[in-house]
Amino acid sequence: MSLKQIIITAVLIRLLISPFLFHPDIKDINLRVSFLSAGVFNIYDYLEENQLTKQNAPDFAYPPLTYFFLGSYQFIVKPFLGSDFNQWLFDFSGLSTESIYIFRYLLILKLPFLIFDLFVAFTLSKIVKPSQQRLAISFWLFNPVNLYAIYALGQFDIIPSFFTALAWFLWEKKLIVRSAFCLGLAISFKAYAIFLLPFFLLYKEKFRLKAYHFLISLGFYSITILPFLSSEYFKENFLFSGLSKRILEEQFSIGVINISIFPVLYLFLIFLALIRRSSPLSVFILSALLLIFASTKFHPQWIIWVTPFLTLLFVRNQINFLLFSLFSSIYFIIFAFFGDKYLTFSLLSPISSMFQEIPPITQIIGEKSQLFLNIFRAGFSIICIAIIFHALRRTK
Amino acid sequence: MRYICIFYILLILLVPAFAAFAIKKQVGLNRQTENYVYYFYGENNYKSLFISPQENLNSISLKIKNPNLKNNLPARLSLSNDKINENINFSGKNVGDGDWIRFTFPEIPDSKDKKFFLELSSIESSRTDALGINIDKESSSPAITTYHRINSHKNLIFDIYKNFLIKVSQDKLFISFWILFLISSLFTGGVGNKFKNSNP
Repeated sequence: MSLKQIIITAVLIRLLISPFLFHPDIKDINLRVSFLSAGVFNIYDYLEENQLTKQNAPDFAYPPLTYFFLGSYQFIVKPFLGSDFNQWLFDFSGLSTESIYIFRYLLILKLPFLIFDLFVAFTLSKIVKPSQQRLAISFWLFNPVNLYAIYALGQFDIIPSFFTALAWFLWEKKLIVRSAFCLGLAISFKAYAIFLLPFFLLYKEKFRLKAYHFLISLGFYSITILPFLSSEYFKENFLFSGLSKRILEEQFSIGVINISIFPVLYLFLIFLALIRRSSPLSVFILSALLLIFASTKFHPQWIIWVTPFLTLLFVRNQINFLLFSLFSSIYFIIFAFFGDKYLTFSLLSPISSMFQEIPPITQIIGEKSQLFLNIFRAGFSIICIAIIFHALRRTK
Repeated sequence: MRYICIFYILLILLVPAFAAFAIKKQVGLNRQTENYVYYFYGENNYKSLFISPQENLNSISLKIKNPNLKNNLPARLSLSNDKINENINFSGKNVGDGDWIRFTFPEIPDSKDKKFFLELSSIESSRTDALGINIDKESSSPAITTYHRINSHKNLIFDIYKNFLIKVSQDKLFISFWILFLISSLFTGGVGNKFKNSNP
């Protein structure tokens, strides 16, 4: 197959999937960002103080730029969504997939993800050697993990993921200011990208350029959150929730002291980056992201943060196919045992609401499902650590 | 590569059929209209009736409201006709401030087109802590969904695809755009060429 055929087929597959798979998160996020069209600037205060949203949309846990970007997109495409769209957003009956317009909503709301998805493929094609281009693009575009996390779950994580990959690519091309701007954008869409910043700073580069990079990326992020820093709800719902809580959740004990696993491993990785400056930056970015998956109870859509770098290292033969396959397989098994029916068969509910009647595997297996989940989570952590070791060893 | 594409397309087309085998219950009556809350307490019971559209009725869902979660008293749902009389006890403790509550009972095999009387009561509750049921004010009918055991998965799969095609065809704008997207992605060569020439 030619490159052109690969891309066309990939787009076709995405168009076949997008309108027919539904996860409630896409509706929840779009309900929250819909208030931008009504002129709401501070969504954090608005949701907490509005009685109407208190029960079903009590908070907004993402950075402000996400609200403005997705809200603006929704405003632009509103004529195509139709007059029933707002009614659909406020339908909490559990039967919102019965709407005859559901396919239209899902296709339109997922279209930006298709664009960013193709941008990642384009960035990957620019990074690798011409002989590796086809493999890199195919591996990205036909990876079932990507298709599931982007188009089935319908989350926007592909946007910061693209900016992270682009930031790294521009850094490699010595375009430091542009790279900093992209990393700032990534952090402003989802704060996880901030964990990558130290590795850019530790890399062998002129101090002046690294200082620029640090100031521009953090400066950009600061500008986007500055108007909201005085809001208590912003701090409560965004700064001190979600990722920041989850990374501290998993702990081990030494005597009476509980120590969170992620910060310890992360600091060790920074130390490793300090003493092994010859290793490629991409390996440390991948490792930092994999540490999140190895040491936290992660959300399924987070996987898209790491897959561009996994693809890249696989194509460059820095990790092998077995590890890549195990990583993908265990990922799917974990979420089959997760207990959320919308991660499995209920995704098909736009096709027929009867798919909502299929109980999650946890209900079928019963109490033992938690044990299985813990075993697979432990297995996934081991695979993540194995990939880190493998990548570090091959790039010594 | 070609096989991966064929595999994906087959997967997309066939997954609903395979997934249908895991469905144990199907929806029968699905009445969602509700614009009024009828409160039942003391001797003030809620009474209504519905006709089951299918055989093997084994559960029903009703939208019940416990304002401000005040009520934690016993309540009862009675389902009856000339042949059956099922009483299901529940508690206000398990009712939220406007939740769909599913009541499961032994399967009724010959339920198709049969009339069922439905009564909700909570003798110990008073007007101040009453539970309510969401109904359509005009007809006094409750918002209700009935569930039935599946007789034939073959018919179910056929129904799923048939209803899906009917549903898709109802949104003309979607169908037009979707087909347009599919065709234009097939005939667009520009994107692929750009990728091809992108490497320095």
